[in-house]
Amino acid sequence: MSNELPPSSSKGSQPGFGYGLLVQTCRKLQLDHVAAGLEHVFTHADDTLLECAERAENNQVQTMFLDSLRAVRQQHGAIEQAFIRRLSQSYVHYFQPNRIRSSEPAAAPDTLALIEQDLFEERLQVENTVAWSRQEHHALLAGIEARLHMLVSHAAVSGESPLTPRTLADCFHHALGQTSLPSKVKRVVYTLFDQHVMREAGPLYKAIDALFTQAGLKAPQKPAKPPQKPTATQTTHAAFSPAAKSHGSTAVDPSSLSEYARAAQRVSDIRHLIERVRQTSMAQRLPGGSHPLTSAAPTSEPVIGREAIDDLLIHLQQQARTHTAGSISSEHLKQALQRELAVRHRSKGRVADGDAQTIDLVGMLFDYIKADARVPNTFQQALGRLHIPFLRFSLDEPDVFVDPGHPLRRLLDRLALAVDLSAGNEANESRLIDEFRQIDNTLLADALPSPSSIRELTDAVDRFINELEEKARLREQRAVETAKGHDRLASARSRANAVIARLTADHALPSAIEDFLRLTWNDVLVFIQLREGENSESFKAAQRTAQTLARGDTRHIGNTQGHEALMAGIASGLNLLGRFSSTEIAKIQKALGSALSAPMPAATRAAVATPAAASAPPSEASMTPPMDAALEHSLKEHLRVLEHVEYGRYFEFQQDGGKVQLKLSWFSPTTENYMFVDKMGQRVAVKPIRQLAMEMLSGSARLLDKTEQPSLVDRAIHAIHRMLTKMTTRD
Amino acid sequence: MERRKHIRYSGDVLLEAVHIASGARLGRVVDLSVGGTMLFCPTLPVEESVWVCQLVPASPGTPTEAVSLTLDCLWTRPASDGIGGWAGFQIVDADDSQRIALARLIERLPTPI
Repeated sequence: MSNELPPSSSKGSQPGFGYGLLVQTCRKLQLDHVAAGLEHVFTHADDTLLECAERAENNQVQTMFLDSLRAVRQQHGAIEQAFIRRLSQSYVHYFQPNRIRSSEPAAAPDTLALIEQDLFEERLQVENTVAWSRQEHHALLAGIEARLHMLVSHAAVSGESPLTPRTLADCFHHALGQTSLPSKVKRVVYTLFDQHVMREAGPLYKAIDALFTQAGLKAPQKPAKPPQKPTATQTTHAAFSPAAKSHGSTAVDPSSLSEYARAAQRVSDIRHLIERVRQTSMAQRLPGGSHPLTSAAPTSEPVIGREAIDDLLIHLQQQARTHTAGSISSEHLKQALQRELAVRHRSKGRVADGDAQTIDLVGMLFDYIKADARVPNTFQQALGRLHIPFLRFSLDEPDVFVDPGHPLRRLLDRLALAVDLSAGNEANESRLIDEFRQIDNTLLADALPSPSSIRELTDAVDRFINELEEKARLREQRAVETAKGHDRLASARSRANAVIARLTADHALPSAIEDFLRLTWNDVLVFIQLREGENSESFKAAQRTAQTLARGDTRHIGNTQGHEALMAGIASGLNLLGRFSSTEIAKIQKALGSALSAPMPAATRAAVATPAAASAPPSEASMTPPMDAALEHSLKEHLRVLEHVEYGRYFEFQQDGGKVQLKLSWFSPTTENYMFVDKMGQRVAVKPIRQLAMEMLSGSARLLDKTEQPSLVDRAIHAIHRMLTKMTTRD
Repeated sequence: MERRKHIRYSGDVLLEAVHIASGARLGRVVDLSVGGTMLFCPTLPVEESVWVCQLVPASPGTPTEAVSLTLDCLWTRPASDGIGGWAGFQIVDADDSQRIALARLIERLPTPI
């Protein structure tokens, strides 16, 4: 059973399908409820029909019920399919009334006469069920219906919505009508349907009510009036448009809207702003540089049909393919469109305002893509070739701007991500160009592809992205492992240095011993820490060896056992390094033995600073100029944020006059350095926490919100909205 | 400890890594596992550089067969005296016969620490 609305045809359908995701979710909830209910219906059908057979008034009726047991089992699947199909059609009828024609021929009058009595009884049963359900769920249904009307923009809303008890009951009645079951059996099955589907619909309506509320569609105070016929320029999102709000229709508080509803409002605002630009001055350019689409024809002229525009777009696409490798600028496209429309329609007829807005919006979208610094030149043209197919889809399905799950929108977003991930890598770019060839073959055909064909293309792009992301993940993992290794090393080295410094600080040692401790045994201490830890017996033993050497402990000298133990300890440590051969180790042992047996320098070195201390750089605090208290407070705030920020968050840095987004991959607890990787997982920056906080303070770095990684179309829509608002406010 | 899975020497240096193309000695093998090796190198290689090497016995006459491997340098660390240093390598390529030879070689190495 398909959970999708029928694919859109490329021509002739009406606009007004702007809440596809919401509607799809409603539909899924309803179908889930229905599927669960139908399972109960047919599970209980056998027992119920047997009971009916037992209570039958005569043998003939009893036989009829018994025979129907098998018939119901056999026709179970067909009934369910017919019901679901009918219910699905009711969605299309309601949301896209012109999309399908009724395939049900009217019953011939004589047929009606024959079954009149049976039909009457069945209809009566349906009416009773509907009446009960309406009464039971009155409040919820009124709110749901009112909000459904808000979502529908077409001019011919009529009849029941797919969610009403009437539609449910009628669809099942229709499905039963397709079977050869006797009317009495149908009524039994219908009774079961009433019990398990209709009377259990409360949770369904509550879920849909909650869904609408979550989407920012609050239930009106009063039950909604039947939908009004919208004007020619009203679009899907009219309920959210500023104009609608100013006229006191459905008042929706923007802050209460879900992301989906906010996107819808944003697009609605853009359409409104395009209209304002057009009305202000046709000479004014839209963001991206193109002029708004205009028509010489007055508004009294008839509107040019979608089909004619689509024909023309196919023609322009063919021309573009021949002359400009398929890519066309939005200005050029609009000029060509206007010119051709004027020729073909002899300047009689105009593009509908809604369509003109869509053409302008798609134009701005592709202008944005071409200007996006993240899109390399190689791919600007490749993405540009999708302009006309995207426009053809958008004219039919304005939902594409709002619904991130729309097949074509998703393909464009995923392509942009693939471009982003492969940019700079010749082999990956080359592979992606091959993917684009496949996409061109499908999308640049005259007939628009089906959603499933587009999904197949997206799946291929997804596979490519997954591969790159997996490589990036491995690269990042390796970078983190390396950084951790460096961190452990720095930590071990620091501890080893401290041990040696402490031992040599107050002793004047023979140079052979001091050099050995500082330059060789230091590495042994580091190695043992890295391998076995600082609390290991090996590390303690290595420290004792160093201590003995540093103190020139004469108790061991002359004591054969003690001397041998010391030399064995030295050999063991040196072997660990893997650096010295046995001959070299013997030489080192001999030199150390000689140094130990020589008289130790008498003077202590208590007053001599360790080289490390002497050469230590001045502390950061002493180098940092005093800071304004307010700034210091802000800096502390940034430091606090940084101390708690989790790995995987993105930061945006100002770099070379542009912006670059890098992922925080790891933080070193030893050095307090933050490591950042790019989209390829490559380590590209390591910043000490204070430096990072300072950059945040100065505005050259900022932590992005978790949601601030928008897709290409989202980025474009936001930018277009921002620029149009700025333009029209300035005017 | 993270490196404990590695087989390490507890005795004298037994193996050297030799860069096949140049014949230059890349370093002494400090530890070795089926996944990688750590060398002490007289000259530290560049991190992320790739080396096609052969592990050969350090002393002539040692009955150890040579193993050819492609190594990717993951990290380097200079010695405290500044003369050479240690480098960690990941084995990124070895044909089946060489992997078998490597496993045999590891089996014959001294007991791990």
